[in-house]
Amino acid sequence: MLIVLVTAKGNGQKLLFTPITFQTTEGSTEFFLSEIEKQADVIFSYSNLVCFKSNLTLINTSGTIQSFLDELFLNCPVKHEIRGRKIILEPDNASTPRYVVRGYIRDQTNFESLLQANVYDLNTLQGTVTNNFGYYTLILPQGSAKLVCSYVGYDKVVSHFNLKSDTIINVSLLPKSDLGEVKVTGERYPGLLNSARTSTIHLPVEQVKNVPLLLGESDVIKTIQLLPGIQSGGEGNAGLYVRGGGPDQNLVLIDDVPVYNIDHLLGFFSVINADAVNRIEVIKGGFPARYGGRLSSVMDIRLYEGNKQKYQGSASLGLLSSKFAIEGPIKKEKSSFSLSFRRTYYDLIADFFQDDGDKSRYYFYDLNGKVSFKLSDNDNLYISGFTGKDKYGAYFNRQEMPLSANGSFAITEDENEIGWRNIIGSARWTHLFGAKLFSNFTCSYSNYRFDVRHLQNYLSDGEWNYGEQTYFSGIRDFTAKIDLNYLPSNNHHIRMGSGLIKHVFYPGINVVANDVVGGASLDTIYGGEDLLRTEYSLYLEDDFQILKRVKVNAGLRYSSFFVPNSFYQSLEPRISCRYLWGTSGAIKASYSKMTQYLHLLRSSLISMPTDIWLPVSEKTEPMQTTQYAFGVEYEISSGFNVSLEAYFKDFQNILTFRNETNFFDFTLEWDDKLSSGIGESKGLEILLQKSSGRVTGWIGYTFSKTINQFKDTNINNGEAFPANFDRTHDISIYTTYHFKKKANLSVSWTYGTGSPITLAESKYYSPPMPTGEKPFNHNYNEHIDSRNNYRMPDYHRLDIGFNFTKDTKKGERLWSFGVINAYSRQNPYFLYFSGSQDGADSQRTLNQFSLFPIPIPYVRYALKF
Amino acid sequence: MNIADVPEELVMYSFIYPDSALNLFTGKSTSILSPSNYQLFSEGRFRIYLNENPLGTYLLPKDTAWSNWKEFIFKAGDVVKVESFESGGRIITGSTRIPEYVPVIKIDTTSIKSKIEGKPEKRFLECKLLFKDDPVNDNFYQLHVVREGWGTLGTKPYYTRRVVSIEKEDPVFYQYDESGSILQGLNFQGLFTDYLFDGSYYALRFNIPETEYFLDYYEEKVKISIYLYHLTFDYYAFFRSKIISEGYEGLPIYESLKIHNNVNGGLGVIAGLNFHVDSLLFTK
Repeated sequence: MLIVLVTAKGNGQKLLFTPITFQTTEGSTEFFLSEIEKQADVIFSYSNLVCFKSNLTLINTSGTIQSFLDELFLNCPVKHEIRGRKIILEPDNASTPRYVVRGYIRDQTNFESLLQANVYDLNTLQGTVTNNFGYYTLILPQGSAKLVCSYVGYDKVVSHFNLKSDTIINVSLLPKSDLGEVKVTGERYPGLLNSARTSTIHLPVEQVKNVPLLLGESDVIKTIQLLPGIQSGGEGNAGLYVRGGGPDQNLVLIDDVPVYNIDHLLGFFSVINADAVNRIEVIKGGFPARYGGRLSSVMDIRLYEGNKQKYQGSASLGLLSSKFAIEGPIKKEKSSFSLSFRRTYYDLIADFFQDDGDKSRYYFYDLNGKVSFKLSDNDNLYISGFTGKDKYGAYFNRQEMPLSANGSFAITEDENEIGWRNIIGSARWTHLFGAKLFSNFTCSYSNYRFDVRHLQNYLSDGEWNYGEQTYFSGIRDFTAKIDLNYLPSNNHHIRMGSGLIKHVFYPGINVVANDVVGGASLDTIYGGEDLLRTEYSLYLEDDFQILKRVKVNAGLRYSSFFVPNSFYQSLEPRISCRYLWGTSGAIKASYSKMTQYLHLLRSSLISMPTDIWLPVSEKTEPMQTTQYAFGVEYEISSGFNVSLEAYFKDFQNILTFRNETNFFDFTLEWDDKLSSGIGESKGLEILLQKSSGRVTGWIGYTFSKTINQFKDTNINNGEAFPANFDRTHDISIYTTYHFKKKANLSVSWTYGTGSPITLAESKYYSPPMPTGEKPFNHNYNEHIDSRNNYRMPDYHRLDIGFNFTKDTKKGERLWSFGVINAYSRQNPYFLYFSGSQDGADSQRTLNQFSLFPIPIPYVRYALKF
Repeated sequence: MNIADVPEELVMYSFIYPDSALNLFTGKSTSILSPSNYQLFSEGRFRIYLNENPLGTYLLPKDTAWSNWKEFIFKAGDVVKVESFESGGRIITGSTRIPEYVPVIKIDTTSIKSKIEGKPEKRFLECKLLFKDDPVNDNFYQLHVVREGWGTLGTKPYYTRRVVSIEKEDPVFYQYDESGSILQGLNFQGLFTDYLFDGSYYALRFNIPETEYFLDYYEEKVKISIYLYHLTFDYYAFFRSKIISEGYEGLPIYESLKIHNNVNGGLGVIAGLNFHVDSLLFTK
């Protein structure tokens, strides 16, 4: 890229030394510029702020373009920029006083902050975007200003004013009453070309809601899985595998708070309710220094603040769950709340069909809430919370227990339960220090817990007793952090901050309770000593313009993590740069180093709630990656973009279970069960995206290769092997056809190379043990010689959905219909060997289990009021 | 999907302890899709070394995979090496050292009444088995309790023998508490290591349920034999990995596990073990 820049600059300078000869020394500025255009075959482009004189006299009739420009604008200096044969003239405002223009961009109807809205001055063409709180700062020269504020789906607003001092301009945008052409990702394009960062995608929430999904549940994470470079762990799995990284390597932030488990129903759905989400940003590489703690991706999800003008709500009814959302002002234009709730009702329905004996019950719910207060012009307070829970229970062995000698009875049932839940909360205070410094103070709490419970009732010596065993594990985080945004000039956006996280890991606690009715409960707690660990981080980041066409985002992040008797630290440089190529293209490159101090101990082949989060220890060092990305982005036409990006990523200190052990081997300390190693992932991603017109959507293709190699030479004989989530080809096609103003058809088709799998190729005798209490199930062992030595059959699936919207007296209603797996593709969920006896011949075969072997229809009804 | 045909590998097993004959398994692996679990050697020999001295070369039987060789008697401390030769020219080799037994210094017993998780109140024999761990090496153990009963059923003498299902109260059985080790699931059959008491005296605690030492109406005598096995690492590792591999095999989303091997040129285990036993006698 540097070579391109130097060459371009060199050619431009040559042009300015083109000799020019005028016939006269008298004329207007416009006349002389016109003469230069004719003689040198160049074109001048200039803003109306450039000083033009109707009559001036030159000293010489011969010179170069450079010398004449200096003379023509002697008392009113201009800067010039050369693009091919075009010379752009702009007033040189270096000596003009400059002032800060700042404020918030909001939705006029509900006062919701508009995040990443575009703000620019038409006169100087200086621009910026709002931050995650809808706040912007721009530094403009004194004088007339034309501030244009725009956001996708909203009418743009142009504010004219005469800038004489630092000024606050709060702008309210009005949603377009008629979208005309449907444009769902418009904001991405100015940002796409303008931003220095690579590998970043803003996913429009409206698009998420149109994607056809299992049982009609709109799902943020499932939609993210349709983007190039991001893969699912397989059929029905909500795990995210980004550029060769595992599901534990993704930082999922809801309003700045990390969420440790994003799965509902073992991964068929995610915990993120699209109705509560305002904005989704997915970062796969080129990480800004403000993000850290995970290796492979950041999902930055922002929730709605709530309508500050009036109360409104929505409700929807689906096959699996129902949702309800409400928002409104607490004090008009000053404070607001938003609340959304979703719950499944399988358990309620199942109750009708199960008798009084054995019963099973499953449900999940999630609740999002947020309140925001405008404390003053310079202060805002945001309090948000989220809780989500899954629970499966089986209730059996119904008994009548005598309560007393008079013959009364109580009905009891034994219970088995398994569940997991997240509770997160945050309080954020934003404050403006002067005109150029925006601060955000955050305190947050995140708690993920998984538990298994077994309860048994029994009679002993005529007494009614019960015994209960509960096993649980999880992680609690307490976080305090400060983020500062400082804008010394339009060419520098400096971010800095620091954070402290107190992690409390509780990897396995067992509580055994015994009770005799009427007596004292006896609780015994085994194991599960809390592991307290402290993580500290500090960062500095600057988004700055080096040249007119070159923008850089550079930063440095320092982090440390304390373990007993020691501590780890890491210095992580990050840099992304962009070169504007013509008027419609951008070339980008990035380098980032990431460190992760947490490991997820995998309990099975797929991402499960039983997986245990553990800190690094003296034996297991932090995982690290270094990623290089290089990409080209090009806007073919308005709302029609193509991007191509290549990446290379190396992993250090990744972990796997050693041979002969696994998660359930409790004869070894957990870090003795693991071996560390290295990995490498490289790939090419293509995204063709159309965001306007009747047909919108994208085509994504990823070619990638990810391998792992471990220090323990017993693992795959010390040789590299395909990583668990290696997928050579991955194609996602998602399109929405708006065949009517209020109706659309959405189609998504995904294809992926089969995931690697370890299969035994041979078996051999296994003897009974002379000291064994009981014989083994089999008298053979499966012989596993190498890891991930096979691949599952390729995966592909077509989903189709229709959405029909209609205005009603009180709001809007939506019907969604569709079908998942339209052509009955039998995708494998897992493979297994089985034996059968056919007459005298017995045989064993490799079989496939498919989760959705037939088309699965869905319907959903939603109402907005 | 097709599974590749892979060449069969030689397989050999022997678990060797003092005062016992050599029991040797020799065979070959088969395809994972094969109905049979092993193949016999078509023709083969084995050579045995005791403390590096060759004891001879012997012909393996053709009709059975297990062969019993009473001519070899071993003692603690012996290093035994076995080489098996297949007619095709392949050799499989394994060796082990028979560990010393670890004496049971004493067993204290107390009759207690106890409530156990989720179960009716029961009587137990609380046992404390005292032994001393070798401070030099890593040591691997197994606690194994056997019940034998003698009596008369009708007019005929009656004898029963079964493995006792003890309550494993001692922390050595769930020593790595960070792993949630007593999550219901795998029964490691009394295996434990010296992780918690390396090189010191240790009183191992366990409970024997009353039902195990209760005399049935036809019984006149019950003997509870408490075995403290001292295992080689290879025996321990093979046993442990086999238990884990079978633990969750019904759930295909759980990862397959490699079973421990310590032979060269094939698959299998040659492993030594030793034991000391103490008994409790109950009579009518």
